[in-house]
Amino acid sequence: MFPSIRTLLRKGSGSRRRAVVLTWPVLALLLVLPLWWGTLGLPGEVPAGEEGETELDRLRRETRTLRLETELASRVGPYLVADLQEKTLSLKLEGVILREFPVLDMFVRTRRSAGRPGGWPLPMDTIWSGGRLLPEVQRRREVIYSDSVTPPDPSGTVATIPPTPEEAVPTPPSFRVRFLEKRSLAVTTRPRALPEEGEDGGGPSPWSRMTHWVRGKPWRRDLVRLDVTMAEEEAGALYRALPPGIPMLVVGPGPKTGPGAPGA
Amino acid sequence: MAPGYVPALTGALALCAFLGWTMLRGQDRTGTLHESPSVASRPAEPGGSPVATPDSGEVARELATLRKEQRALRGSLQSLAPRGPYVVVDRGNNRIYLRKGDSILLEAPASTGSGTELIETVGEKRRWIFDTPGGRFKVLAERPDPIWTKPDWAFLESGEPIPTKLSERKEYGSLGEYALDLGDGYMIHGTLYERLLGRSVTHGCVRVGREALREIARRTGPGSQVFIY
Repeated sequence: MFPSIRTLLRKGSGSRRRAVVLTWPVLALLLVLPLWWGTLGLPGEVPAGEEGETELDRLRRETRTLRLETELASRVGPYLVADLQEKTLSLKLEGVILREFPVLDMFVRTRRSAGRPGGWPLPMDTIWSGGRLLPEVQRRREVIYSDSVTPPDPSGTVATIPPTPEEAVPTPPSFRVRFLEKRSLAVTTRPRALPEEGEDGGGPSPWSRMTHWVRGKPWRRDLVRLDVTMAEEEAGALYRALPPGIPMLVVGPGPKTGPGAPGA
Repeated sequence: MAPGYVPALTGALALCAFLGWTMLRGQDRTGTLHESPSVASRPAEPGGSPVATPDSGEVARELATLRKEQRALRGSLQSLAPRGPYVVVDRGNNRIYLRKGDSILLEAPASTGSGTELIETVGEKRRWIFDTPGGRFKVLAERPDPIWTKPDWAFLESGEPIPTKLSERKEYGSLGEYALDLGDGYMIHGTLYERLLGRSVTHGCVRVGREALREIARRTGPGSQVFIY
């Protein structure tokens, strides 16, 4: 179908030959590029089948989760609990729920290896440690020197009103919490007013997917990533609430853990 | 470009587009997680017995042990949870919640620490950072119609001389109808400046609007838990 290089070189003039020599490597590169992206760049879904799970397996998993949560609850400072089965994200402190963030969608993915899920250690029922917010929240600390303060103006001049949290720290369209061992929680916002995108109504359009993927290029370094889609308000609240170094417990499929869970 | 190259280039581009589309389509799916060889080949967790051919007596014993451990762990987690209503303060978003178990009884705007640093340039050269501390606290006392005894920083901050008489430090009404004392000078209290609620303006205390404060004071008391994050 396509003319071979030899045929083209035999038939063509000088400029044509040069064009051939340049075109074929470019075409080859164009062919190889998507394959390279496909094998190295994209995370694959992490499997976590509940089917075939025995009672013993389930109890082991639940017990391990409870052990980990007990360990987190004994630490100082808040922690996140992401439940893949319930698709919930909670902020807790010492075992107590501080806030639950409604999640529109939640996926766990691993980096692909030769086009297939990489067989990286499963992220469920483990503690992801040392969470670092990206982009970082910038908070400027104002310094007042006592000798530079002037007494209040008797005329009643109104002091400057500081910004609201939303004004001071606007919600980025997407952000992530990068944990140790190349794990990330990636949060994408979706305005509450907008209907769900995509032909099946259940996910973003291919174009959004493409732009999101391009924007998230640095994430390719992650081995495991928890992708979460949230309403803009909720994502903003999470973004402003997370302290540096926060750990996260990722709970795999199965009944919800913690006090009051089924089977408690 | 010679016409001979057009089909070659078009074909290559079409292939690239197809591969790219396949790749993206494969990336995002319904969220249902699937079984794969990587899971099946996952080694059993340390200490766990193999599931393939377990001895029924052994399995029964392990099941009983696991159930017992689960009960203990759940009990341990439950013991951490407050029995009555508890207060949660979100510093990053300047919100206050009154919760009981999994339910939210009240949500309202609040004001928390401004984060400002005050440096005394003369005299003792002290410094203060106006942050609201985070962690788990207990209401030590609940005081109706609290009187604020203004500390030194309140005078330094407004450029006024520090008074020598205690009576000159007393301020009435500025803390609202109630003050829930959390210790170390930190309180949850009312405010005269409700228009500033939802903004980081305080010296470390948590300011709440009148109605929300009444509700919190009604449902909590000394010993109630307060979580600040």
